[in-house]
Amino acid sequence: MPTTLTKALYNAIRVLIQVEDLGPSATGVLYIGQQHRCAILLDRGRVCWAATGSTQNQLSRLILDEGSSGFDRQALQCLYRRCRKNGAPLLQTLLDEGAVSHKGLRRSLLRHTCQSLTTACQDPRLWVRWQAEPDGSYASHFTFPTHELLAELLPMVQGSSAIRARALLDHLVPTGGSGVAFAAGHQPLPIAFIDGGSPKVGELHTTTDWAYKLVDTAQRLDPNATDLIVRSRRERDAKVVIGFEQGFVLVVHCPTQSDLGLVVAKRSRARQAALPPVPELPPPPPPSSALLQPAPTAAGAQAGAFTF
Amino acid sequence: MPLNDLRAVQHHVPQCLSVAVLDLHEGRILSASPAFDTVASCPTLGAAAFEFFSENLAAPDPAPHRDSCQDDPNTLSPLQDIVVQSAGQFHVFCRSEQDPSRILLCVCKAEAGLGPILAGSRIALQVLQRSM
Repeated sequence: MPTTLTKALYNAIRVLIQVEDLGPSATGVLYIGQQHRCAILLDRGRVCWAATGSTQNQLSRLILDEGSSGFDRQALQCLYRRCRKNGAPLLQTLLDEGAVSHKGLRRSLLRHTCQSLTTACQDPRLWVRWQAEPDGSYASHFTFPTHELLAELLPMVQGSSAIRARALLDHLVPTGGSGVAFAAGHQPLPIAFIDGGSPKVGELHTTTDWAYKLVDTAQRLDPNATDLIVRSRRERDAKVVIGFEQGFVLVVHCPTQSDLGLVVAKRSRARQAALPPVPELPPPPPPSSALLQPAPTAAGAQAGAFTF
Repeated sequence: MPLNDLRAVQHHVPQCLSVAVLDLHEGRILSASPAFDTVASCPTLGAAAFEFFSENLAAPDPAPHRDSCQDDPNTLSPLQDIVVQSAGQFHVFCRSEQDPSRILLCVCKAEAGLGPILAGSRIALQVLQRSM
């Protein structure tokens, strides 16, 4: 049974895919929920900000968390009133007066956008309406690509699982490769990902869905399966290793044959490390014992080395 | 396919317990080595191969694979080889490049190692293609 947060993540992913589908020139507002619970501002295909009524106060807290020392709630309220009176942009003033760093303010907005998105997406029935503003621009200082929002959302929703899955991918994904992880036996939702480029959330979702089907088939064939090595035909001769570890399915795309060899070798070591320790042998009985038996060996338990 | 040819195919794959040749279009196993039925997972091998290869599964990143499979006149998936690995066994599915509807299935003991099994399976596939 999916939890509310998992459902929210599923819906948030659908929203991010919808943002991608609007294309790189999309500028306007994407409303979520029939009562317009959440408004996501898009500027040329990138997300500027998302806000809901219930997360209004969270932004000020996030800004204060990132603010310079001495910049407290009272100072923020004072600045806010001054900006309203003068018609000055609040965010620019925050930066100009050194109340918060550029990086800190960006982080606050990213986090707030993700919190708003998660809150708005908790409704099981996702209702979305797009209102284009083709001639408009939000002149935003900060805009976020969809994959950056997803990267922020995942630990927010999946907690320590996302961090553990990310660590496993960090270890496994070769330079120039990419990887995505999802929880084994669950809905194929990305839980962590690595991609040196700018991955589309839609692509990550397609990959998890694709791997989920393969894993399902493989485990019906061999319930003890730990890895799948997949090679595609055509242009790039893609090589993918799908490994099962610590309750995660790790999908690793290897750009070259030697990368594949390295990933497979790492998976082999991980499997060996996961094997239960060989029990300590009892002391040998005296030579005269009639119970003398050949000592067991662990050789059979060792997986073969991978050579290419 | 004559049994001797199948033995020749099997000979190239180290620690191979069993081989079979499957035709996706005809939907059946064309030939199998005598030990095929004695390997526990063999009854499900054919079904697994169909699931792996028959559907036009979207390949993961990179995107060009999706583009390329869209213009594929047949609806087979863009997958070429799949190895399902467990501590004890490898199940290898190798698709013929000449005739993508033909799949070579091998079940091997894991002791041989993935590299030799993959290399052997590809040689076996070439032998199979010559005999088809």
